Amino acid sequence: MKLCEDCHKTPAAVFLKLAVNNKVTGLHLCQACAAKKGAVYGFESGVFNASDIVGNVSDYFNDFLPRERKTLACAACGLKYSRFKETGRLGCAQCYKSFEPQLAELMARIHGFARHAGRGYAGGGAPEFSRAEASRRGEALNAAIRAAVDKEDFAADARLREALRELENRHG
Amino acid sequence: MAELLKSFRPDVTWANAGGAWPDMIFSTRVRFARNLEGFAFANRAAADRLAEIRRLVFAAARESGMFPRGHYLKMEALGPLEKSFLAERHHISPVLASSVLPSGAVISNDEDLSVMINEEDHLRLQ
Repeated sequence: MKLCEDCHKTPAAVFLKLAVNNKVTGLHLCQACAAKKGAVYGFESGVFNASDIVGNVSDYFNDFLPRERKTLACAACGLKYSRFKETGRLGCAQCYKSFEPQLAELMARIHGFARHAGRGYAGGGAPEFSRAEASRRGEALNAAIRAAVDKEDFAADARLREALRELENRHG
Repeated sequence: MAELLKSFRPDVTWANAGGAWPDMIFSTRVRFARNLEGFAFANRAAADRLAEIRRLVFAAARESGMFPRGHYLKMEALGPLEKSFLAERHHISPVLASSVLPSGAVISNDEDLSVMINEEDHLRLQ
């Protein structure tokens, strides 16, 4: 029987799987140690919220983390990372930069990956489209180019070709 | 109090019963949460910053031309009955109704469009 990897006394009953920076690690724990680390949240109550995960599992990481993590704060709004763990809410847009490694780790734990796939907002510039949407827009532009050529509207043709090139550069 | 209620239509346009099945109303709502750049989020911004956000949003809403004869409301100026009226029509949330900080709402005249200001986010566009 495998012993708990934390207390090394009681037989392990729970396997705690953690995804950190895209690396998955696992820990065999006994019920008591797992409960201490918050791993049984959700199994017992059936209900858990983000701050439970953020708070309890991050406490587990705190044991291994350098001291500066505990006093980490956002340079812009002053929010402490420890406060974010309690509330589950960031203080300003800059917090995403200030706590980037921590948030990436958290996202990886919650969603399995820290990278967003799909549409994104490009910050005022042209939006990023899904492959299907990009292809649909490409076809529409090609049709408009053909129509412009038919009408011998070369200014429109040049403009549309430029738009198509840009679309292909972004989504090609 | 009566002034605010009088300024709203007795019926909501989107819930007007008409067409082939007037006893059925099917409605859809889309809500976007957005925050203004350069300000701390609503849960961390100081009261004067929240008031500034509201001022900017009121100005932007006027400039957009999307709220002709719209309602520009400051939450602290409203009484409990007015707030529950707005919550009942789904223009504001109970969270916004209970806010004690500078917050507000912009509601279009036909009530198809509304914006909550300084609820959980600077903007809740719906």
